[in-house]
Amino acid sequence: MPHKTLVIAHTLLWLQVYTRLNHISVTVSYQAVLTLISKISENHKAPIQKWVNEGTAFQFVGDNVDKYRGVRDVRSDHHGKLVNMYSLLAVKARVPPPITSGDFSPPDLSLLEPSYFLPTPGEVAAIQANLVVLVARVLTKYIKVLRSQDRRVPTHIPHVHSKEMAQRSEIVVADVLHKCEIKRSDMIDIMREMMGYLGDSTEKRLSMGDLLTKERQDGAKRHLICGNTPARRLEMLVPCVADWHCLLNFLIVS
Amino acid sequence: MLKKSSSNRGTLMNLLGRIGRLREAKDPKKNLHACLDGFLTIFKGQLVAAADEEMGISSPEDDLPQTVPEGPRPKVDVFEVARRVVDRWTIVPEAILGQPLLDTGDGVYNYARVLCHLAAIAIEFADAWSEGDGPRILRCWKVMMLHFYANRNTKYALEALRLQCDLASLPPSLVHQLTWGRTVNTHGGSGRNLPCDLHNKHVNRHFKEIIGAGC
Repeated sequence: MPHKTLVIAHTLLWLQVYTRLNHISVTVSYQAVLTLISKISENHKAPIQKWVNEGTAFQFVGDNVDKYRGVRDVRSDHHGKLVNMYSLLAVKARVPPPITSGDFSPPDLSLLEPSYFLPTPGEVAAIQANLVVLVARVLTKYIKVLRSQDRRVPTHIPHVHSKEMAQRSEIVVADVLHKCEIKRSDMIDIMREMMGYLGDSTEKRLSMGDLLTKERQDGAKRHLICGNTPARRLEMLVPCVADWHCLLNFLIVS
Repeated sequence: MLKKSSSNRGTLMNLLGRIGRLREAKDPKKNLHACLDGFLTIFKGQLVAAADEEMGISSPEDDLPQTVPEGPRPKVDVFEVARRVVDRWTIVPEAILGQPLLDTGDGVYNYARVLCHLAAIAIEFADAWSEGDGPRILRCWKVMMLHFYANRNTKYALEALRLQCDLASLPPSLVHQLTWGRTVNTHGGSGRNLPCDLHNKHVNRHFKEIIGAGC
């Protein structure tokens, strides 16, 4: 309903028209339209600038948005068009990172043993311990003799930051850029737009996305590796892969 | 696992067809949630069947067999049964740790074991992100890295390895954020976290609906 109301607001109708249309459930009320317009018109970048000024930890989350605009009659000179955009969100960290002092020097990864990167027996045992709880939930639900013990099985497996993770996240929809992330020049523009939010801050921020977005961001950073300053080299942005696409790929592979 | 095997009894495709979920759960790309739900439904069926065997009953609705006639009803601890089921019928630790595997020679048993192993990893991963438990999510990434490499999905195997390298080499504040900032909670409440990219997909979908209606 709200998006239909915005089209009508553009035509500057009378208050009585809003009231009549609201009564037949075509639009929201006039007051709701004003609230929605003021919300859309506010400065969405203000929370991000406030986070940067206060030194609050946050990260960017981005993904491409492709919308195909088709036509009814396709001709050689008149055909559908694919509109490529990039949506950018900023998510405030619910668990603030610890304050560290002093300069950080990255360790030499070549000194680490290959077994460091592989699962250990302790990690496998931890997975099995969690699976006991998950399996117990299934058994108490479906097996008659075990149903009476369902209160003994925890509903949520607790961890160190369970309380913070139960809080609502502060998410800001930063921008929807008319850029195609497949083109390197556009990807560089997107990353420069993200750098624009950070201002003069030298603190590094994560940029989460799916595998393709991460690859393209890495490619953009490699392209600018000869930049004069860290800002020109886009060093403040650290691309990383998020989890949903990992599970998707795991199920495809399975 | 979902190759053309619907005629072979006991395969994933056959089981999904029997419960009427094959059409929706066939392609994870088209509908991940239906695929995951179908997969986990089959896994839950396997777990219940395994637990019935452990407890000596033939159906989930049966009572436990009476050991002493006219004596008290036998009791069983759910965690003890779950532990035995997890040891025998979920993940295969030897496969993850690179230890030698015992070849039973029974192809049907091996197939069921692999099905349960993969489903156990999937259910652990899904539960980890719903709780927002960062170290648990990263543990699952480590295990999945091996599966991606074994199935020649080099891109994701390499990204999982790069994630481990980032955790070892980035500044502590970024490592902390990489661990605990992987999920968002749009509603609030325990167990309601979503991965960041899934929430981004939801936002994109709303955006497409709005511009589609306006066009």
